[in-house]
Amino acid sequence: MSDHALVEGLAGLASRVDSLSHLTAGDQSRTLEDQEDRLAKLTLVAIALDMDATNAKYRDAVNRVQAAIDAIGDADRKIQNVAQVISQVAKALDVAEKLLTKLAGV
Amino acid sequence: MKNERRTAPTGVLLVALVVIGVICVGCAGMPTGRFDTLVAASKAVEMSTAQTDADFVNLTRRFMMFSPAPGPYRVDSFAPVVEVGGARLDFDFGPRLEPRQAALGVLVAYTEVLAAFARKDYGGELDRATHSLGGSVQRLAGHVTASTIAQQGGGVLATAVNGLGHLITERMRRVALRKAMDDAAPGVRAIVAYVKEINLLASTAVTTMRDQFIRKANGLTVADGVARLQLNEAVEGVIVESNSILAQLKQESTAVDAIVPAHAELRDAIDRDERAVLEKLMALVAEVKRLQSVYSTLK
Repeated sequence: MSDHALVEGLAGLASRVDSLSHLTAGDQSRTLEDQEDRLAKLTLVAIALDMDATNAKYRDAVNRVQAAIDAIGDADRKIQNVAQVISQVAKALDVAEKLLTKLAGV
Repeated sequence: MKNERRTAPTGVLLVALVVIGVICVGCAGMPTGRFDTLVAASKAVEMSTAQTDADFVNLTRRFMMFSPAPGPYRVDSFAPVVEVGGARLDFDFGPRLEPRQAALGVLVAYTEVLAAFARKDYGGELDRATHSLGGSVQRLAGHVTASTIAQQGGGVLATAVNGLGHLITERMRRVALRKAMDDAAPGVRAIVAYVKEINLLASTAVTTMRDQFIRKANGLTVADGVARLQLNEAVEGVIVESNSILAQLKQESTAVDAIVPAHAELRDAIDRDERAVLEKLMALVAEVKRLQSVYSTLK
């Protein structure tokens, strides 16, 4: 069973991380920019790959990305704990990266 | 009594008129023009999508100009590959787009079979169209990345038209055509859904590449002068091209979506002169063509 939840999640998260990077400054802003870059690359790779929605690792990646999206919310000035957001995005990135690298056969 | 005698023949005459009327409806010419319109609309969507895919590939090439592989130039420096976590991952969209094009080919071939049958073109056109449909279905099945639902949809269309043979009476042809279109309806829906799904993925890819392109361009430090103008031109070109592709994909999805109700209406209206849905479909197709010409002038 094919599914595009990961593609949509990665693209949505990349957009939110980009917005947040403009609202922050210094190291946090640079970290968020790097994360946005990685998310965009993973989105492109995920689009090109055929993924099985019933795969447990796929579901895990989708859930991690969704958790990061929930943490970041609308990426507005109300966000208090940017460090926590960065940590959630990093976890989502790691899981998605491992999954896509494996699916790509690298 | 005299009145009764007069009424009886009048009633018989009325029944006879109704019977003759029904027979005449059965004998009325098949609405072949509407089937031809469905073929034209399906072909237009297929051709427009092929053009959009070519634009999409060009956009990917432009994107790679801004994101080449690190290090000295090699023959694969601009191949669609991104480096993630130290690994180089391929994002070639070809295997995604080709099955979508094959699915549209199946849809076109199916409408051609219907049109050939409606025209009673038993001489060669029906056989040619049926063969063409078989080939298109095989091509779609040959794409490993095509969804199972789309592949099954292609099979449904091929099976549905199997019963269309050389039927003698007009009534039998109408019955056979209605049955074939009923049987094919789930296949048409599956293919349309698949085409829209890939269009949506393509739109996400375009948006992602465009946003990354702008971000990278903003990170460049170019002095005012010729170099700045060249960068402006490159960035402007990508933005216009991306917006054009996004508009085309959206319009193509709307047009292909309209094939489902048009197919259903055509099936229901084999005996009636109902053109509203087909006219709406053709208007959408015209909009797809107009969009392509408008954006071509802006490139």
